Amino acid sequence: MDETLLLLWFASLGMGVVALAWMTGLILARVIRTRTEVARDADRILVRDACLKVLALGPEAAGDLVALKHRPRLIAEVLMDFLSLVRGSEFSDLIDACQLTGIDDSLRDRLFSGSRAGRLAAIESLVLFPGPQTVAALKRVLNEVRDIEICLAVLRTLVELHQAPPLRYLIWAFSNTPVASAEHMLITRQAIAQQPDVALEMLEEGEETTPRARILLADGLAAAGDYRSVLPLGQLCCDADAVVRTEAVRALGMLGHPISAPILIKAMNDENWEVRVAAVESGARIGGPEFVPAMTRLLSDPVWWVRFQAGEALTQIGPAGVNALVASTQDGDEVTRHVATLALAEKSNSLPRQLELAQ
Amino acid sequence: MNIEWAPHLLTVVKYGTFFIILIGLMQNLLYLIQLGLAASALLDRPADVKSNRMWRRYAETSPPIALLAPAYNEALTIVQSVRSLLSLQYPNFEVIVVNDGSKDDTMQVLIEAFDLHPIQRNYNLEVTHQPIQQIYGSVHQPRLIVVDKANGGKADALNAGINVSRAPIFCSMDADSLLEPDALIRAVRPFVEDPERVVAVGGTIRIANGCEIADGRVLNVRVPGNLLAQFQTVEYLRAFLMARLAWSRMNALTVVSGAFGLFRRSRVIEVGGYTLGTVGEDMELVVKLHRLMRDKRKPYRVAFVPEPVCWTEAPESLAVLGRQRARWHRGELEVFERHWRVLFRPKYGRFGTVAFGYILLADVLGPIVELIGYLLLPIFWMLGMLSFSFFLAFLAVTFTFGICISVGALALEEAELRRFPNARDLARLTFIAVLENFGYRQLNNFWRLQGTWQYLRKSQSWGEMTRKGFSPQAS
Repeated sequence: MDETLLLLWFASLGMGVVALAWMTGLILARVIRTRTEVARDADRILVRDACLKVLALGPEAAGDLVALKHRPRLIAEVLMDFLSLVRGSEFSDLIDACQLTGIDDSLRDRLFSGSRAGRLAAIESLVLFPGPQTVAALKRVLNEVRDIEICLAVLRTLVELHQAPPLRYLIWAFSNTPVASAEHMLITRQAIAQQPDVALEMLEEGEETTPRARILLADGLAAAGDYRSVLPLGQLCCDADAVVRTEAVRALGMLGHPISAPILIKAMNDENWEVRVAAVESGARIGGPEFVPAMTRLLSDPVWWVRFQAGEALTQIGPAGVNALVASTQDGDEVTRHVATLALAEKSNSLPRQLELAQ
Repeated sequence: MNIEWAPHLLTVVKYGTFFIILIGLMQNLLYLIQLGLAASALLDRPADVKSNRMWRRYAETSPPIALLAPAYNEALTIVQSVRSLLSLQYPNFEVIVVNDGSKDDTMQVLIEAFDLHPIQRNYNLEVTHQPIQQIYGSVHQPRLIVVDKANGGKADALNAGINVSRAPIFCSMDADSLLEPDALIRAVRPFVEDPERVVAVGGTIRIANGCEIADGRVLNVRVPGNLLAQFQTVEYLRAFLMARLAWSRMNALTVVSGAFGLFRRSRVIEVGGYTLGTVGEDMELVVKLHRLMRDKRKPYRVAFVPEPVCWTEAPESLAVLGRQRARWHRGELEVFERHWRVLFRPKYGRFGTVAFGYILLADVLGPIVELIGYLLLPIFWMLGMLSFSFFLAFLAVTFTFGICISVGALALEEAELRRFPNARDLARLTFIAVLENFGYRQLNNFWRLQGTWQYLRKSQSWGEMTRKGFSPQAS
């Protein structure tokens, strides 16, 4: 009994001591941190002033940057902000100054040590220092590090430096990760713009690739504006996977080539309502009176969002669309009349001009 | 004393006491697990302090968001709140203010301040709400839509906002909350990183009392001067930075605060929107989303961002705080009553076992067990069944454990966010973390018991909430 009592008191005492030590540690750490933050702010101002001096006097005046070479994270953060405001010869002067003082080397060294935030800042800033050394260092990080966030940052920088890994590898990697991040799409868009032939080749392989890969390829080729992809994208509009069909239809809209009109009109009858919505949106982007009958039919679609988008699309198509809407307010069934009336009413601010054009 | 039934009584008392101690120990164990999980979540995914980096990374891929701000009798503050919302930093958003049948001049003030005109807006009645009388648009603020509707409460107003909105994501908030300028770009991160699975995202809510505020923005973070608000500051740190972060790590988060939350519109419509006629509509919605995704056997996530995104005014009087806490507790019990069937069912995974198990332990049984404990202690002592030295030692362990947990939550804040600017504020908060164990926590339990009583009586009242507002004088 006494032992239990003693144990309880010791446990309480122990937790009290832990809490007290923790609290004291927190307060002391904060005092120290406040001081280092003041010093960091002062260093930030020094970097900024050194950059301004380089802009005023040229790359030779980079001496002040040398003193802060051992603070790569700080320099990376200030440089990214500063260089987003500078263009032309001033930009290249500043980059030259950094290279003269070896700042790019310290940024490359920072890729392999220190906190994750610092490494991310260094990776991001290395886009300013293209060259074989930077590419080699970034590829080494890609091989050695398993942190997903760091790998994505490296890939972003590599594609911005036009040194993207082989597209097949990239698409394979992104279509086999458990999480389908929207960032993957951004990276593959840039990579496909640099390797469009490989992307076309892969797209033509059709269902040999995964649905996720086909989605990434469709989006990337459309963003690259490569008209050679219209036909393979058209084939993708018949894919077994509804999400792939939706993305293919959307991609055709992004490309905006009138030759895809029959494919889009066919997609407006797809069994999946999301494909129908994508087809209507893409049709509105391309424009043209050939879409009007199919869009008018969709004013009585069972899904509200399809009806709404069809009404929107008809107002965007121009006089032919507006005329069809006006006619639908009188001729169609109750649902069609209602949707057409609301679509016209919602666009009433811009409608006088549309009606003018229609006449 | 009748000696025949005395041994039976002793056995009952013995097992009853063990049960109470067991519940207490399990609660404490859960707090420890939460602290560990929250720490590992923050280590794994540190909060990003720099908003310009967030912008660089996420601006291009961020989906459109509709901000839904229900307003009821907010004539004095609505213009400043809406201006603040319109100046948020996010690439593609619209603000939908829903005037929920205000009895004051809220609607007129909005019409005059933003030059509103009636507009036609096509919408579908996907979720139910009171009739919309008119929708207004602003000539000068194309992002602003104002919905004027018959009164039906916050959930009803949010449902109207969901119908009128068209963005794939909506953000529910209180019209009187203050958002950080980069709140949306921070909170949207899980939707960008995992767009197929994330159905809802919660954000950290902080206490704005005592902070320097101008033009709807928190300029300088300070510890409140009022003791009650100080207690709530530590409590919010514990609730958001520790508990919610921990549950989100286990995908068992059941509460996304009504003051700020992002939701995937299509999923919310699938569950029928906010439930009307309940005081815990925010919790109810998240629970319905969990059930929907588990029933459909689809992978999903309810995520949480630790960065502070929203500031709210905490009650500074015992009466108002008591009403608020009783209402919150009543809401939790209502949700438990509606969804208790998910408890421990394998189909519902961690949501059914961990999340609902915790609600059962901490919210349903917790206050009652604590009350029984308080009642039994003096009885045991009077009957000579309790050793006073044991009682003191047990009390000491309970208090020091509570202090450790609160200090742990402060340590998480200090390690990753550091929003309190100086060491003195931190010292004050650590002192409060100790002090709250002596009276405030017990008071909180009393309010929760009041909530239980109101729930049993089926009370639907929200109680009067008086606020000082965020004017510079007030803060």
